[in-house]
Amino acid sequence: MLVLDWIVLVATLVFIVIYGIWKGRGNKDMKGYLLANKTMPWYAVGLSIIATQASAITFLSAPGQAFSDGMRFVQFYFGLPLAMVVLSVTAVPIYHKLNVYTAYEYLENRFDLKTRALAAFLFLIQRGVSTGLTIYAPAIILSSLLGWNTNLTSVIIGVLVLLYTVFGGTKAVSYTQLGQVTIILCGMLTAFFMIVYLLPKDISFLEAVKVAGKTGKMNVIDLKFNPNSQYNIWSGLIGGFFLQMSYFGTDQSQVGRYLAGSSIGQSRLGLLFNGIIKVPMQFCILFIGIVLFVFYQFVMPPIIFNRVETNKILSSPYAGEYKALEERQKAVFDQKQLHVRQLVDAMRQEDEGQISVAQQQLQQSLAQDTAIRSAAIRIMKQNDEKAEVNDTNYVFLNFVTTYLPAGVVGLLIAVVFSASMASSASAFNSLTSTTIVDVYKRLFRSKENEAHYLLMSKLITIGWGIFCIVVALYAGKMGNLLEAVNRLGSLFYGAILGIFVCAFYFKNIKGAATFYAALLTEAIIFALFYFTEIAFLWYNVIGCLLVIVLGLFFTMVLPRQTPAQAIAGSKK
Amino acid sequence: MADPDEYTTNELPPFIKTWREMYILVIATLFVQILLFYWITQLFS
Repeated sequence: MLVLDWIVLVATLVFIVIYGIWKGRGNKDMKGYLLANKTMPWYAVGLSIIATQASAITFLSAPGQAFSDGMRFVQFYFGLPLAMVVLSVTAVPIYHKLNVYTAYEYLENRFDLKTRALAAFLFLIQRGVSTGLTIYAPAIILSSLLGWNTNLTSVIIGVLVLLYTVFGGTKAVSYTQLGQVTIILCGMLTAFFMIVYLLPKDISFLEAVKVAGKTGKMNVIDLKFNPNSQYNIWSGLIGGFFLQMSYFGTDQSQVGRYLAGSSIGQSRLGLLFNGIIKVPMQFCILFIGIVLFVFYQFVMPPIIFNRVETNKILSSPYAGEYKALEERQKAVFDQKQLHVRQLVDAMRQEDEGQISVAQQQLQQSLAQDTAIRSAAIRIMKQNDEKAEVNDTNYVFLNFVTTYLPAGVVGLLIAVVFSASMASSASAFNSLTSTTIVDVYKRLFRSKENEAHYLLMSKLITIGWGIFCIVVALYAGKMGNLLEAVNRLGSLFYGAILGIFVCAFYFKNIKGAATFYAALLTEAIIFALFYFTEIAFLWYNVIGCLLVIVLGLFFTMVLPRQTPAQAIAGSKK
Repeated sequence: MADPDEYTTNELPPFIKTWREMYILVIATLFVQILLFYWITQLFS
C-alpha cells in the first residue's frame, strides 16, 4: 500500500470512530444505550439492518463466489423480502407494543423463563462465535495479500468497534452504519467501474457479459429442485425464507436495529426498505465477480489467488513442479484468449455455428485451467496438509491490490474495515442487550438503578468485545467464510425460529413443550449435520418444523400445568 | 398472549395508501426481479 492509500484508510477509520462517539454521546439510561431511546427514522433503521447483515465477508467472498460459481448465489436471498413482509405484519408490532428490549423477553411473557433463557443462550453462543469469524475473515485476507499480521488486524478492528460501541451504544452503532454503508457503496461502485475500464478496449461491456454467459457464469436462476444443491430458486425461496425469518425475527443483532425505530411504522419501513434493496444489491456485488472473471480471460490470473500459499509452495521442494504448472497455465491462457476472441467475433457476426464451436473450445480451455488448478492444489496439500487452498475470499482483494491505483486501494481496504466494523458493532450491541436484559437483570440483579445498568452495559460490551477478538485470534481454517457463517447460523436458527413461531401462532403449545421440543430439535439438527449431506439452508426449515411438530406432540403427552404452576414456572 | 391482530398502527406508509399495498409492492418487486433474472439467465446462456 502506498502513502495515499494509508491516508485514505486512516482518515476513514478515524472519521468513523469520532463520528460514532460524537453521535452516541449523552446516554443516561439503558433505554438510551440499548434502544437509542426509540428515536431512529426508517432510513437509519433500514441502512443499519443492511450494514448489520452485510459483513466484510459479504464483500470479499461474494465476488469470489461469482468468479468461481457464477451468479446463482443470489437465489439465497429470495426468501428475504417475503420474510420482511411477514415480520412487518407480526413481529414488529408485537415487540413495539410490549416495549421489550430483546426478542427473548417476549418469550417469557408467552411461555416461561426457561424457554426465554434457552433462546437467549442459543443466540449468545451462535452470535458470539460468528462475530469472532466476522472479525477474523477480513484480517486473514488482508494479512495474506498485504502481509499484515492477522492477529494485530483482528485486534485493531475489534478495538476500533469497541471504542464507539462502548461509549455510544445503539445510537452510535446506527449512525456510524449510515456512513459505513455510504463508504461501502462508493468503494464497490468504484471497483466495478475500474474493472470495466480495465477490460480490453475492443471488447464492449455487453460482449463481456455475453462471454460470461457462454461460460455458464450468468446462471442466476436454477429452477431444478434438488435438496442437495445449495443454491436453487426453491432452496432460496423456502429455505432462505425460514433462515431470514429466523435471522431478522429472532436474532437480537437485527431485532435490536428495528426496535430502535421511532414507531411501528418507521421500523416496518426500515425492514421493507431492506426487502426491496437486498436482492439487487447482492446481485450487483456478485456481478463484480462476473466482470472480474471476464477480465481474467484477457489478463493472466495466478493459479491460486492466496499469495501466502503461492509463496509457500515456491519456496518448497515442490517449486519446480509448481513452476511447470505455471508454464502450462500460460500456454492454456494463450489458447483461451484466442478462443474468447473467436467467440466474440462469432457473436458479432451472429453466426450460431461458430458461436457453438468457439464456446466448446473455450469450455475445453477452462476445463484445462481447472485441471491445472486442481494439480496445484494437490501439490500444495502434499507440501502442507493444512494449506488454505480455497481462495474464493482472495480473488477480489488480490485484484484490488494488484491492478487498482493508489487511493482506490485505500478506499477498498476501508470498505473491508467498514463492513467488518458495521456488522461487529451490531453484534457487540446485541450481545450486550441480551446479556444485560435476559441474564444479568433478569436472573441476578433486578433492583439496581439505571446508572448501574448503564455502567454494566458498557462493561459487558467490553467483555463481549474481548471474547469475540479472542475467537477471531483462534479461528481456524473454515473454507468459504461466507458459507461458514451461514452454516453456523443455520444450525441454530431453525430451532430458535420454531420457538418464536410456536409463540406467535400456536396458542395451545405451552412453555415446557416448546422447551423440550427445541432441545430435541437441536440434537436432531446436529445429527443431520454430521451424518447427512443435506444442504445447510434446509436445516432452517427442518429445525423450525420439528420444533412445531414436537411442541404439539409434547403438549399432548406432557401433563397439563395448572395456572398456578404456569405462573410459578415463569417467575422462577 | 400477544396476538398480531391486536396490534395495529394508525401510521401509514409514505406514497402508498395502506400497509397491505406496501407489502404487495415488496412481494411484486421480488417477483419482477426473479422474472428479470430468469430472462437474464436465458438471454446469456
